[in-house]
Amino acid sequence: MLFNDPVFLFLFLPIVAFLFHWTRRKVGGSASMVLIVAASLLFYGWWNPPYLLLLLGSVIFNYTVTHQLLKNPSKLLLITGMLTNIAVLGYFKYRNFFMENIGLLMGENWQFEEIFIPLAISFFTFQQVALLIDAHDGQIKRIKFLDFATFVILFPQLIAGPIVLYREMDKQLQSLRGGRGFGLSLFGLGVVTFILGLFKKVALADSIAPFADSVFSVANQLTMLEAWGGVVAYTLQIYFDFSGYSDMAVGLGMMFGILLPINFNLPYRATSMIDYWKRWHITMTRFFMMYIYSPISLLIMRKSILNNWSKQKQFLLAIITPIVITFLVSGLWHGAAWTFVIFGAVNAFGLIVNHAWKEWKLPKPNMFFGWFLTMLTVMTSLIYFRADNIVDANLIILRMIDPEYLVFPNWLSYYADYLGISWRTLLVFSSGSYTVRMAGWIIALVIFALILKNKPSDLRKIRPTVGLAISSSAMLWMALGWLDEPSTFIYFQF
Amino acid sequence: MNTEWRKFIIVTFPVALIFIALFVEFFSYILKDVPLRRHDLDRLVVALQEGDAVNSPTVLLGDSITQDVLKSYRIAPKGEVANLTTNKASGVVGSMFLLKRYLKKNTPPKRIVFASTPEFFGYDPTDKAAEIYVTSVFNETEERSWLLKNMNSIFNNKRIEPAILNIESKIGYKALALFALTPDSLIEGDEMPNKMPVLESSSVHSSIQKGINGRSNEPLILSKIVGAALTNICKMIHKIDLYFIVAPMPKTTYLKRKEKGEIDSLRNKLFEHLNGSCSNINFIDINEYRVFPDIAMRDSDHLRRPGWTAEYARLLKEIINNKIIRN
Repeated sequence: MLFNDPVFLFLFLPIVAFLFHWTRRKVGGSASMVLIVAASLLFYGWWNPPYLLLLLGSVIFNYTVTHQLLKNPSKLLLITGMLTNIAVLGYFKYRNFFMENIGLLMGENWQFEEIFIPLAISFFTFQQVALLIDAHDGQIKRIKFLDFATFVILFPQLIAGPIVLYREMDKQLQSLRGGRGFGLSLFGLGVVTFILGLFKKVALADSIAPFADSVFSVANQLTMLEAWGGVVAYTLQIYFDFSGYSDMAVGLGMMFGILLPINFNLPYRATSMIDYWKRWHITMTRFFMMYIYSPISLLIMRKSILNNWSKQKQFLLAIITPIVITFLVSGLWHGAAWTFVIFGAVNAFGLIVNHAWKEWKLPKPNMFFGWFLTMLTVMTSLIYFRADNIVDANLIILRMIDPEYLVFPNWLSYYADYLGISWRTLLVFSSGSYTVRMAGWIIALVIFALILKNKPSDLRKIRPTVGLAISSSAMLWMALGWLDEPSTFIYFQF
Repeated sequence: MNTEWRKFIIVTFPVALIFIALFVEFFSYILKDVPLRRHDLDRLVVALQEGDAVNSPTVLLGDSITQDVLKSYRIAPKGEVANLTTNKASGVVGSMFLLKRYLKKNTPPKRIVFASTPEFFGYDPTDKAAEIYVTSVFNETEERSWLLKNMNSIFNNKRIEPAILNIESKIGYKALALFALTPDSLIEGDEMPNKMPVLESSSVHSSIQKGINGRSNEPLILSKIVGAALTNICKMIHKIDLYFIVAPMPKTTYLKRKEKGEIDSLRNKLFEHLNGSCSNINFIDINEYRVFPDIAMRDSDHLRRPGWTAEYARLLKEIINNKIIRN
């Protein structure tokens, strides 16, 4: 089920929200949790019922291992638990990728049937792996099955995050079970946040998506201007798509009295790559920092201090190595393809340059220049993220920079002749009205991306004013007006 | 939930939802008679409705290859030919409605000339194109009943559509139309189409060539709906002379169509279908007068500017003046 599906909006959500709060008040916190777990299973199974077994199996297995780890924090058990999770993920998501690459190494061209990846497998696997590590490290003291199941299966965050840590949910789940917690106190704010997310997804992301698609589908026939237009359009689409989803998830959490972490904080305002990754997909970055980057970095740093390494060697091994590993894993986490690996590599490169700049105290660049370089790096990485293959991605980049492809559309032939630039009928910018519409959407979305805040500095500061009611109503109507056919969220594939 | 938020969810927010919906509905009601000006077809309809009568003896209908050319070039003295060409998206059905609207203000012409691609006669607008170029443009009672009878499927099933759920059409485009600066009139180019140097042979860009090849493989048909529209055109004016001019086609397409006998077959189908409805039907293939190499095209359907468009305008002018008007 999709958050922007009328079945979800007008049937599932109102019924589940009503039953949840009614049960919480009349029967008790535990009963309301059982209800939301059952509703979440229905939500997940709506897509492909057989994969419910995989989800349930994963929950039962991980709960058993967690339970054992809390009793006896054995390293062997932790590794077994982690490897099992990774093996399941690898089987469902990466087996074709690895087999095809092994085949290529052996000089064979093995082709496999496309595999159907269970929805959200990366999200629930990583969330549970983190929980196993926390249980082993003593970050969690006790856990009940109902809390565990709610933590993993809770439908607002099940499909595409935010990636929550058990330690930040522990108290909320206990309160919920005990019939305390936020109850309905965040409901109103949740509705408003959900509407904002729905508006971002349906009215903004889905409106610019066809422009981006039209460019990426004809990579080998683009001109410079078309390539730039398409890449900027996709950069905006993915932000509004995913941050819209995240807002909806956070809003839904609030409606059920659960505070989920915010995933974005005006990422396109970042003036450096370090800054960018503190603002983009915050919970995923936190996960990778905590469970991959920091352990590797700390291990190497310890060695560096003991062996008195030079600054250069320390930088190379304690900064560059963990960044490269973290971002290559992050790239692969997004998808089983080399394009995603390069997406990670481009980001790693940007971060390394950023860290080196800081390490050697080079003059701080002008803010605008910093923003420009950051956006350039982000857009380059997103080309690999979106393109069907590396060849297409490289072609698009080439078209963006090669002056030979600076060709004006025929309807601008007058200006092209004046400027001495060649012109012809273009495939994407085929008509003036299409191009003007695309440019209009890009300008509007750039403004929204730069001003529309993702997180209020303090939730209590948001007042239920008439202005808030009018703006939320306007956004809801606009979203409903565009809700012809719900389209999937980009991050559902991960 | 504290009292403030409870009031927000139970009262303020639902009231705001209703208020906005009513406000938009009211605004849409105020704008309901503002004619749309989204595209050339809208502007042509406004020109027919609000402009002065022209009473031309010849009415020219057709699709975008001709429309494109007539924006720049003059093919007859002022008032001699009424240009009602439009683009393919509205189909022959759109041409029929344009003629009907033209006849409301003007005296019936002596002749009607269709100068279009042959594919125009096989095309029926559907989906979004039908909404943008047919149902939202031609929505008078008579037009609606013709469409309901002949093209029922192009209407969406929404019986009542609140303006709030279609702000783009019911408010956005209408509000933009209010800002239209220039008065709308039938388009007549100013330039005389003189012979200009043109590039006769050169390599064609791969995307254009692909489009041309694709066009060559499309079968030429006479659609049932187009047939009904043409019959209706003949019924509108008694003893009308109807001329079909096959507009320039890229050489590759033309040769393939000729080889398969598709153009002759289309001509026969048109004659057969209209036999009895129209008094005098004529068929002229402009490609017999001149070859249009693939390089003449800026895409599969349209000619390169300025040389090739001038060439088409010149030929069209010659044919209309020498073979049609003087006939």
